[in-house]
Amino acid sequence: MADQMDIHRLELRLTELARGIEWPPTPDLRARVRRRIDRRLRGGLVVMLVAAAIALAFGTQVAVAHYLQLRGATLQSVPAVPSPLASPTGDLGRRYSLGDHYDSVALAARAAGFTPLVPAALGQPDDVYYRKDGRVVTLVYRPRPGLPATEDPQVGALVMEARGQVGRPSFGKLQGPGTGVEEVAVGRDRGFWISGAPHGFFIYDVGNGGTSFDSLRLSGDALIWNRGGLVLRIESGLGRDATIRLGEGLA
Amino acid sequence: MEGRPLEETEIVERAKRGDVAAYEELVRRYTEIAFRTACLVTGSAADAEEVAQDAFVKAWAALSRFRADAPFRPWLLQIVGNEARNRRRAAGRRATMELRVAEGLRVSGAAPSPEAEAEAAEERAALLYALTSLPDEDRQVITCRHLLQLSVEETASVLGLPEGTVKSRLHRALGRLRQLLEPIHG
Repeated sequence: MADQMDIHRLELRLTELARGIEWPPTPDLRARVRRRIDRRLRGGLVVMLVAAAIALAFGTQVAVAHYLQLRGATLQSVPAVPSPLASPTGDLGRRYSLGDHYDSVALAARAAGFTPLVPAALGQPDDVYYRKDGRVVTLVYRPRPGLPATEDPQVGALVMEARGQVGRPSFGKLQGPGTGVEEVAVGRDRGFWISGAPHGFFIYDVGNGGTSFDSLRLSGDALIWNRGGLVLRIESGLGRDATIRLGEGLA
Repeated sequence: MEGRPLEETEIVERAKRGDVAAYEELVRRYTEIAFRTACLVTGSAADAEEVAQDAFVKAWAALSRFRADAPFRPWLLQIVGNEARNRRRAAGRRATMELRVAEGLRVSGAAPSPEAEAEAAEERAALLYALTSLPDEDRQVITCRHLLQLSVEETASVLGLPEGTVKSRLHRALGRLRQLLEPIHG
């Protein structure tokens, strides 16, 4: 019998078999898929609400004209960059709202739950901070030969790092008139070089989906990009190409 | 391949406009084929459940790039196939789904004699045993095409192969399956 079994008969037998296969019970995925889609939608909504909240908080006619999102960061074009409510005083961590000071990168890493990358060209930072609500680690480098001061004479470079999560940004940037945004390659990664007139920079409250208004400040030239699971930002007075090289050398 | 009912075009269009309830209807319609396809590729019902869920969420996120007049099922199955193959690779195991035939299955129209029924059951068991004895890639292509009854295009999408490779692999796999069955029936 089987000697005469040709491919066509075999296919018919398989089709018959298909009707009798006992597959594992099919789960009902609708509710779970719905919840995950809702979470995504809320993530997008939070970003837009934050833009609106900034407008209200600073009493300006901020309107989002252009919107661009990296993983873990947002960049919005606004007709006027709002001014910070007040200039904080005190040490550098307080003035930049960087959070708690840590004695080493390793200790900050333990608090943050991820290992920050360190620029090979600069070595270990002079100071390390971790801001819990934004889950942002900041490495501070003081000016030194080869690393000129930014507009702040106490700062040579700030390297800020957070997990780059879609729909849950850590960094927000507001681009006003006179600020240029240029797409650049940082090694194999795509990033943005933001330069020209100072731009607004703030930290989102990742846990609560809001924004930390106290963190809004005006920033000088900065590079921002994603690498692996992180969103990274370098603010320095080195200029575009040297800052990109610094970013490429993070390890 | 048969055309897609107009109703589905409308559902897809609504989902593309952000109607989550419409998308839920697509999830309801295609969960079974997505889950079974993922079972076949991952070899695990638990992994398949995760894979199908991830695939539906990714398909939602990518809906803006999907042409509303294109058939939804092959597109979804391509995403399921990608997810499932990634999951299988990441798990680093070569699990095989254990398939069974339902007891008391009657495939002929007329009521068969008890002897004929027993013989048919035996042949089905032999066929299934032979199928599960095939190498992984042969078994997968036959199972996709004949047990899940996917089109050649869908099978190619799920397994990440060109359609021509699916056809040639299927031909070779059926030949091997026939060879395996010969001693049993000879």
